[in-house]
Amino acid sequence: MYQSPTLKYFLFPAFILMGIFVVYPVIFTVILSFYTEVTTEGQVYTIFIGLSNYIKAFNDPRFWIAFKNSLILLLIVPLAMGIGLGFALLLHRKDIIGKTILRTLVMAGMVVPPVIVGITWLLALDPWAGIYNKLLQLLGFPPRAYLYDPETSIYAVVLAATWAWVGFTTTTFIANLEAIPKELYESAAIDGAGPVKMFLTITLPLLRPSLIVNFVMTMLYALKLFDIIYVLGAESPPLHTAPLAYYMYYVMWFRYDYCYAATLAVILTAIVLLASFWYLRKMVKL
Amino acid sequence: MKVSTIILNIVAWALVLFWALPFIGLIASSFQTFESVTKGWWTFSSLTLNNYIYVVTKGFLRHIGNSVVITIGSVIIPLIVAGMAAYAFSRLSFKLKTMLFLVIVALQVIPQQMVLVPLLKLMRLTHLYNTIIGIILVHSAFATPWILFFLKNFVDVIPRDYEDAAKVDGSSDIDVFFRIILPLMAPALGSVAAIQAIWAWNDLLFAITFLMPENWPSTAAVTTFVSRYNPNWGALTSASLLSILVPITLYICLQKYYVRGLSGGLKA
Repeated sequence: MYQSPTLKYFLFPAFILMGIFVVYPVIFTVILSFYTEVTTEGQVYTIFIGLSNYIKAFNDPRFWIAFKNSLILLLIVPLAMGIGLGFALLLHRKDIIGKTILRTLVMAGMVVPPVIVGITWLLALDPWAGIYNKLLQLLGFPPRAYLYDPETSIYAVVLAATWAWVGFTTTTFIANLEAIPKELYESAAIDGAGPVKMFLTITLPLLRPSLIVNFVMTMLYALKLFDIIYVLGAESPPLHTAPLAYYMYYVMWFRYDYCYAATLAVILTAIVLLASFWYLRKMVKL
Repeated sequence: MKVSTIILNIVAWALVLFWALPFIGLIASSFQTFESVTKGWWTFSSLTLNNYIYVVTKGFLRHIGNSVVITIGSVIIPLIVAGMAAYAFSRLSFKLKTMLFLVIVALQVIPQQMVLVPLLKLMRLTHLYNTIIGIILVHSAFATPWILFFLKNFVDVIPRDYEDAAKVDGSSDIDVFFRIILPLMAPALGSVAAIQAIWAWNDLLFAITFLMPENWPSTAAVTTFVSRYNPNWGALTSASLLSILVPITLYICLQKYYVRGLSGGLKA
């Protein structure tokens, strides 16, 4: 087939841009993770130390707290998928009045800046000014600063993050539901299938694409969560709510240990790539 | 109307409104005094615009302006750059193509943290640190992999007949791209622009890493009002509402592009 000889130049701007601002820093971060910076008499020396940074992480109790927090944040996956599917099934129905308004209220969560999500929940869970805290008090719970209590703070973050992300899962589920042909339900009804049977035999299997997309995207969202924690844990060393994505930032800005921060970034990236490996492979096959 | 339908409607509205309570609280609090917010915004015991006046006099509109400039730049650059590359990628066959494609796919999921340290050093070295153009370039580069991937899938299904005819007439690649391919890509470009605009507007990590506070976009500047022991609810909520206005408006106007963009991945 004829190929224009000048067409290859079209690749260059994109490759130069990605090369300088993405590929080069990614490679450099990996390299930095094998080095350490030592300051003597005002001079900064960079010294190769092999795997020492990784061993340091392994022996760092704060790293393990961050790791555990990252795992807890994965609770967002079942929560956001379950609630999103519930909203999608409800708001997909034809007999809901004002469907557009309700859908927008739920789905718009995905475009709200995560920083604002954090502030919204700062207010909602405040012991005095917070509506959710007030409702819990009406149910008999004592007023409690859920966000600053080390026992509850990480779960408060899970709730806030789920709240924001349900917009995405609902949108994806509704788009998928609308693509299911109505005839399937009509013929199933003729065969005498009830709503539960229809859901299990038609809806659920045909929702497979959106279930996969939501599962992978929510997992990546949970692992990369940063902004909401930045807001909800502000003003105190917030390390009891800090997942890996935040701990790396903390090490970089508050301990100025760039090489260790790079190591943490490599570990985070490895986890993210592992979590999306199967999905990425599928994308390439497309 | 059937009883079951009525119950269903009540349940749906109640659930969604309960779900939206934190957000309703954000809006309601922004129009109330500190005292009435601490008593509970649902008491609606005052009505004031002072919070908005306060954040505007603190220079918040400048941060909104920064957000607008950063967002526009971070949408247009990767759209053109990745659009051109997607076209070339789709039409050319060369060695390394599969490998390059693999790298691009993997780059889509890389966390921002993976580039922070070297980029900070690079930005300081090149004097791009604390400049709007610097952060636009970073956003553009970071978005290029997924936009390239998204658009390549779209260009793949555009038939070659148009461009072949144009080439026979002696048009250059640039002509073909801007006159034929780009207009045909319009629906995909709409989805990409809608998603990328929200991403650039909402970002915090790149903004606080590569910019000093005076140049922060609005989402970063809002955080300066956060205070654990002395929350200034008025400033927090009104500044939040000002920074939310653009993404919400974009979302409501371009809703179909979002749904289309997100369901593009549904073929997996």
